[in-house]
Amino acid sequence: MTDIKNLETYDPFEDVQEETETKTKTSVFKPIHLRVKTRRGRKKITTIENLSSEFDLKMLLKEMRKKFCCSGSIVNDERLGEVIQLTGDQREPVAEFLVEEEITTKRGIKIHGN
Amino acid sequence: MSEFELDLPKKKKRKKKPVKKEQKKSETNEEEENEFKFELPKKKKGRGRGRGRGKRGRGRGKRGRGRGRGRGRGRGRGRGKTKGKEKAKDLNSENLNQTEEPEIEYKVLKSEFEQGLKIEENPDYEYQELLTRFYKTLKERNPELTGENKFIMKHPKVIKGGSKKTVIANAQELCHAMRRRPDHVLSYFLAELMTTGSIDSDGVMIIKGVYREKHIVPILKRYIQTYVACQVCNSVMTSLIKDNRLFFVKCEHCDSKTTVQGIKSGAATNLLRRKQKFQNKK
Repeated sequence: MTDIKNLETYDPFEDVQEETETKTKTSVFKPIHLRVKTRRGRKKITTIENLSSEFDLKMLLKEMRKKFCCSGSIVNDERLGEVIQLTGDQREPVAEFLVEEEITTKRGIKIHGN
Repeated sequence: MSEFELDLPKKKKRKKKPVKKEQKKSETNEEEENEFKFELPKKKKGRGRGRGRGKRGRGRGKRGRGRGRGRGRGRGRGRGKTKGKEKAKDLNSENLNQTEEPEIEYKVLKSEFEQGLKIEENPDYEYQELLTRFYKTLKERNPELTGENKFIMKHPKVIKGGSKKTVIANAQELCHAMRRRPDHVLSYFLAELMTTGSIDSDGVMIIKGVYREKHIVPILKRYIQTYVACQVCNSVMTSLIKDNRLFFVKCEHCDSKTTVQGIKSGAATNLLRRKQKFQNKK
């Protein structure tokens, strides 16, 4: 029956649903914030916010720790969700890392601080 | 708005050179007038008769257009009747040597067009000279209107306020120059540096941590780019307005409104220390 085109059933609302779903996803644009905080003396901590929950944060952390030779952890914040913390001032290497892995573009990263 | 005067020096006017074609026609007309003997012409001469052609030249209609462009006694335009009458008048007045004014409209346009082309090739004033002159006078008399709105601000005085604290002594002056509340500026600094701070009664900012001028100046610049400068005309005469839970930057120069995000501080990173404290107590 469905071999003949004219006899196929046609749902006119199929395409519309798909478009609305995609629109809601792309319309909300959340940039990734990189901040630095000073600890005792010259020690610092970098925080990475707003990473989307699609990614496996644990795997990302593991790779970053290996690359940058630092320690880190994931912290659950009340308003901002899950946040990655790394020891040391790692803003620029993290930005390069995110762009290389095609997680975001340069525009989607905002660096705060000095 | 104050007015200003342009004092261009007087230059000599160029004499308008008559076009060569008109000269030729005047010559031919003079020859004809001598032949006419002061009578209104009934017959329409000059339709290509100058060179042994037919009555109406080239087999065209009564008003043979096209080929009688001055070769046939200047009558090839099809308006011989009017021409003849006017010529009779001129002859009676005995002003033969005067060059006739152009009667047909497209004659005038052609001459002006040709003159315009000549002026473009050899102008009295060059474009660059006029431009530089214009901008000089603008700067002297109306410096506001020039496009060079360099917002010159003082440097922030950053002083060490004991170990672990920095003091910005200029804070009140800076905020006044930028037309912003010092509370707003402080909150931006603290969000960027992830520290605590406060404002004294004298308008002096105290920030926890050791910072120098080179750390604070780029943060100030970023603040101006996002919250002070208008994104349309790049002017600094703006004001912050809150409308329907949204922050707007309203420009007084170009009268435009742009939305701006509020200041959000980062995640609290004291959890590490709290964990350690609890562990130590146990």
